[in-house]
Amino acid sequence: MSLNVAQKLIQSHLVHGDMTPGEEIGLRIDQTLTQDATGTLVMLELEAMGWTG
Amino acid sequence: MKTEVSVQYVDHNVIQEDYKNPDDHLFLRSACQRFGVWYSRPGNGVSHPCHQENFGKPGKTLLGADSHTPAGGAIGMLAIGAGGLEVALAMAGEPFYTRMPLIWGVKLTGSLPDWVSAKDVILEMLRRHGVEGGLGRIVEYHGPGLATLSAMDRHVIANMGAELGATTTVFPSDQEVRRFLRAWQREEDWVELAADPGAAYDVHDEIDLSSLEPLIAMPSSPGNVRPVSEVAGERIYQTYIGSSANPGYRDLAVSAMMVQGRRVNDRVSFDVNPTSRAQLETLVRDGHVAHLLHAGARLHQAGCNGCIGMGQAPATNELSLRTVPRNFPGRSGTREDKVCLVSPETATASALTGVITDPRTLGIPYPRIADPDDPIINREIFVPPLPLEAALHVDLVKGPNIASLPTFEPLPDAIEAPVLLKVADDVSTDAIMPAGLRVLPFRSNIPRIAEFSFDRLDPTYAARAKQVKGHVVVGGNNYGQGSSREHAALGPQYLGLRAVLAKGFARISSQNLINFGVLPLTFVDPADYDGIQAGDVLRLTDLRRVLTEGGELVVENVTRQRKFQVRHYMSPRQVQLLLSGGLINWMKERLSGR
Repeated sequence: MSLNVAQKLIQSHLVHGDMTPGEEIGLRIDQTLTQDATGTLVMLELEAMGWTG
Repeated sequence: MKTEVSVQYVDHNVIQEDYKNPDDHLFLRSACQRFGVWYSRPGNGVSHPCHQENFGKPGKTLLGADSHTPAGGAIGMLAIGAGGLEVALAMAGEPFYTRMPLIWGVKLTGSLPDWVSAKDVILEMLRRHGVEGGLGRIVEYHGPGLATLSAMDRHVIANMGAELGATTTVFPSDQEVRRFLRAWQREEDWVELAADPGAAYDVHDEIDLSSLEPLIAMPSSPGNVRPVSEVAGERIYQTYIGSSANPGYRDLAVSAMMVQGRRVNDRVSFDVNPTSRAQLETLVRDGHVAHLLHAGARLHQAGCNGCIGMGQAPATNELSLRTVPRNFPGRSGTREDKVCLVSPETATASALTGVITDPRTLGIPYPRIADPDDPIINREIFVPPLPLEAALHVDLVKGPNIASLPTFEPLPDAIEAPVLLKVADDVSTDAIMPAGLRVLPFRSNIPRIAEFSFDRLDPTYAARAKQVKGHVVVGGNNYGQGSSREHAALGPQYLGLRAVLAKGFARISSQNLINFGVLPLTFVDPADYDGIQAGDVLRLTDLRRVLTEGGELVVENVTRQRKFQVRHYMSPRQVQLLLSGGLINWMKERLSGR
């Protein structure tokens, strides 16, 4: 099947569901970014989860 | 971190009026060292261009706790904006869940005429489709016109795809992306990524770049787009260049070359906001900053700055022409503001004349300029993560305004609690937990920010909540519409909110309630809303069984001695989260191997 760029990106990271529009999909995430307005809560959430690195 | 790369940028709250913002910066630095995250200090610039220059890789996924994260699509990434907790989970190795979007292919042909640039391409998309045109879609640009757009031009278009409401925007990873990565001395990160021959799209559109003209989004919506020529001549107060929506070297250099040897109009505040330290260094090296300053520019530090209302607010009832992505009412910091979105060319032409000006009418040669192949690279300015053994010994640095999150209790099997508040339809997250300068500085302090919960609707709510052990809120339709901020669930939860009974919920709002362990329940018969008064005591029993097995839940109104039914719309996964007491507890159990 011929895939466009978006489908290639999704398919190569798909860990849950299939590529039917509207269906729930789960994607493996390679990189994250946070900024300071959102990041403080993210770090406090990691602390609360007991994340150790 | 379980991710390949996680980076924490400091770009939003860089004005230090008191101790709170600098305390946050030091906290973030310590948290990065503790949790294995790269730290980008204040002054390095806005996350999106910094990420593209130093960390982004074609073919990879990027989840960002910022709505303009899709900018990463410029170099062939799948880059999506999400809530903080979803990003925290992704950092800890969990997948990101969303609905499969429609793929919207936009074919580009031709090439941009003089005085027309990437901003005009995305403004054309907004002119055609409005601010909801991209909902549930990924925009994918393709076609021969792509070859004429640089990687930073594509960043402009992908960044503002957020304004279309799109899940994200993607571009292929082609020879231009390779050139960009080579210039930033990491060509080894390049992989080719192109649509297969004959690949199909769910939705189609086409733009002939040669046919575009300078466009402007008038106050106060990115979708309110008109040709600049139609509104030319209106007096302006300010022009603002830079921001994550026009972050490239070219975007500032073209402005510098336009003003070289000239002075901007003496009534105009000409605000220059470089978006990365590296770009600023390179613009200094090449003499562009000197030309901008000499012409009357006000130079600001690399960061989000006035784009998010941190300084540079426009004067009363005066037009401000900006290259930023958004012009929502009041975002600039001035209440009744009149912000317009334009290209750097239109902004600069208007700065020179003092009125909205179509740059094609200036009568000067168009300074065609490309991004340099030898930018000054300053990767050592980013603080890398520590090795795990060292990281484990780092203590989080918490100033007086930073408090650890409260603990979350697993969902009890029975709740008997008073209705502390009954609210009407369409209560927004702004009403549940306001933003703004009065409240936002407490974003790292849940006990303190919780005091503001519902205070626009009932200033006594927080005090009353603290006097009882657990309570319920009753709502109408569309509970929690608007901004996705998590504090609107966390604040009331901290004060003891156990369940919200409503006629209906906004999607992200019910998700956030579940994430933080609050039960969202919907009336089977909406008329039962009328039978409840604030102060009534409600009893919910056998919760764990009913939630797991499904079906209606009977609620007893102890005060009025009557019963009614509610139901939930949670997936089995969400029920498990809720039973654990929310996503943080659920993840904590997973991490501890239970």
